[in-house]
Amino acid sequence: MGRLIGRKLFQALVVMLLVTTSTFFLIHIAPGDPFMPDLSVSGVSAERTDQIRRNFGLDRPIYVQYGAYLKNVASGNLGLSFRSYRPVSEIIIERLPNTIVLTSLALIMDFAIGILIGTWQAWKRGSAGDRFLTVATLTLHSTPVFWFGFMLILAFSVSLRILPGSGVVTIGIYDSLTPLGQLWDRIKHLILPVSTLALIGAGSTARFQRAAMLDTLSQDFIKSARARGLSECTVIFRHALRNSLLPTITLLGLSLPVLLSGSVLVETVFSWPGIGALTVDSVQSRDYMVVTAIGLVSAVMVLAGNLVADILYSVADPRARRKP
Amino acid sequence: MRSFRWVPVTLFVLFVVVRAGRIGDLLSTGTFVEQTLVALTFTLLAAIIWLTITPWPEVLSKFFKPFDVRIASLVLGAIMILAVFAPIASGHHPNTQLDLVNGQLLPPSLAHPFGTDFVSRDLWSRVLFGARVSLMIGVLAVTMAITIGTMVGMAAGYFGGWVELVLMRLVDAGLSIPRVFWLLVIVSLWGTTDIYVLILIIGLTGWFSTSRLVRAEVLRIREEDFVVAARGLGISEAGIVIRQILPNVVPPIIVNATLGIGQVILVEAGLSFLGFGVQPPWPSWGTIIQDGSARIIAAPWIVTVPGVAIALTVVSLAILGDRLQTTLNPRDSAQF
Repeated sequence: MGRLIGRKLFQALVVMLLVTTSTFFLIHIAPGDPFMPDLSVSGVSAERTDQIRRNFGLDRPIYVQYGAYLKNVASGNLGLSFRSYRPVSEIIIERLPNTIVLTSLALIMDFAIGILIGTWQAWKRGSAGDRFLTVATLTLHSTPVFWFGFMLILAFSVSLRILPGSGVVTIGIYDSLTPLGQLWDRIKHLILPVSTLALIGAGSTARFQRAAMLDTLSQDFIKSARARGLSECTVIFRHALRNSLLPTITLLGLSLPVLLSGSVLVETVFSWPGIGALTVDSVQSRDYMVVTAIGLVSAVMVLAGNLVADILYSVADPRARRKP
Repeated sequence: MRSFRWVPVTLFVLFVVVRAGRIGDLLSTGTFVEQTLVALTFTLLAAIIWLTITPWPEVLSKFFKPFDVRIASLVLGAIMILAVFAPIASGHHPNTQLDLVNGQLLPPSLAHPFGTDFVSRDLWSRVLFGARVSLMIGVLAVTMAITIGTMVGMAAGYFGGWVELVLMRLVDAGLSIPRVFWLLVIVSLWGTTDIYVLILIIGLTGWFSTSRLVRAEVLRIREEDFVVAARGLGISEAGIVIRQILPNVVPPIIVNATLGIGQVILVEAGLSFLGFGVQPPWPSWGTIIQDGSARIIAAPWIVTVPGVAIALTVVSLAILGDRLQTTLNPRDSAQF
């Protein structure tokens, strides 16, 4: 177990180095720099622009910049934002909780719903309900996540007027609410964005779980469990479900990047001040330092998710522990 | 069910008869790639007509047996035909502002089946031309991604050693960053507005998972008896790769490509929605949704229609992809 984690951590480090390197060079070989468009238009002199470039070290050769950047990142210093002159880590830490709350709640709901539906479908294979859900999950799987968000806004915020469609809290009245009222206000704002991400994800999870469950149900140990006269409930939940969850755990690691991609879009639709919306803003304003840092942060989140999935897998399946 | 096959052909013939005068427009407009796609679709139509008047080979009738596969092919066929014949079928130029005084945000009606948008452009025309853009990006970007992914996967799987190590760590890095992030960074930094650059970029960021799949297949096939036998017979390494291994990885790649087109359509829509994809005034399904999102309360149909078009296309592709999977790779897909 310790060796497994050690090996995975080493691999994660290599991947992180690759990610940092590729985003760094990708950004630096692109034509133009962040001080070209804005400042020349606003009438700042060329000397002043050069001065600012020097302050940020942009005049040095690219390999020196790269070395300095790697050293800084390794010591936890992500640099200054070109736009707001604030430390990048501060900006990211400010936004990160919003994204983590959104994506982790969505992930939990995604897998809870997906596993439930997929298991039920495999159990009642071929029934009208199974056929209906097969079409429904495939449709969800094929729906653009941001469009689905708009449809939920149309239904619940515009037509029914029961849930807010943007922001984290109701601006203006939030401060005058009781603590319990504040919590309820936050929950109300979470419902639509979380459901958007979770339902779209649950479409894929349910399809995956259905296939995994059908595969398990066709195996001999299920036949022998049935032959021993165990109740259908025991067979499904104690024998089949547990084994069918193994492939679904691997899906957990794989679905994180998809979820983060989705959160970029969903945060834009719901004006949710998280990392995703920050990505769009900083990319638009060419805030290199923030962009590279977000790349690193999302890679860390994805790799951490993969590590958790690997550990869960070896906990769930004793065979995985024995492998070198 | 023979009569069923006549439906698309009859519809198409009717369509051509009604709009005959404008076929000429079709071939004289559009870029080279668009005209190539038009020619491809004509070939496809000829094939469909041929299949309608001759008895189907057993493989095909088996393939199209399930009801959902038939519906999916019909839907996809209809969308493709409408996309290719957009200049004839649309009735308006997609960027023409028809009536800025009285024609803004009109709800769907007979004159404008999907209504009009906030500068009085006909939404039906925009969605049809958007289909052109979205499908073209889907097909070309996936072709590119599949080509790169297959080459990388074959190299990694066949050569092994450090080649495999380097390539697969690269793939890990590519997969561990959300794709939208890569695309946002590249598109915005190069400040591109050109659709072919967009295709290039989506293709270049789409090959990671294909190469993983191909590598796994190659690893499996490399150890099979017929490859060992070929090596024993003294066939060159290049010969083994091209004649023995490549044909055997084609079926999973075809499935991967079919599903991939759907994914690219979703990615392109997302990118265009964020304002980094296809640039206005040209319509793609994503840009139409972005246009409509500002008027979502006054004109909900602008956002709704393109989304339905995307979902229909991607669902149909997914159904066909699943069907191809069960037909081409019966061993890998559980038969339930």
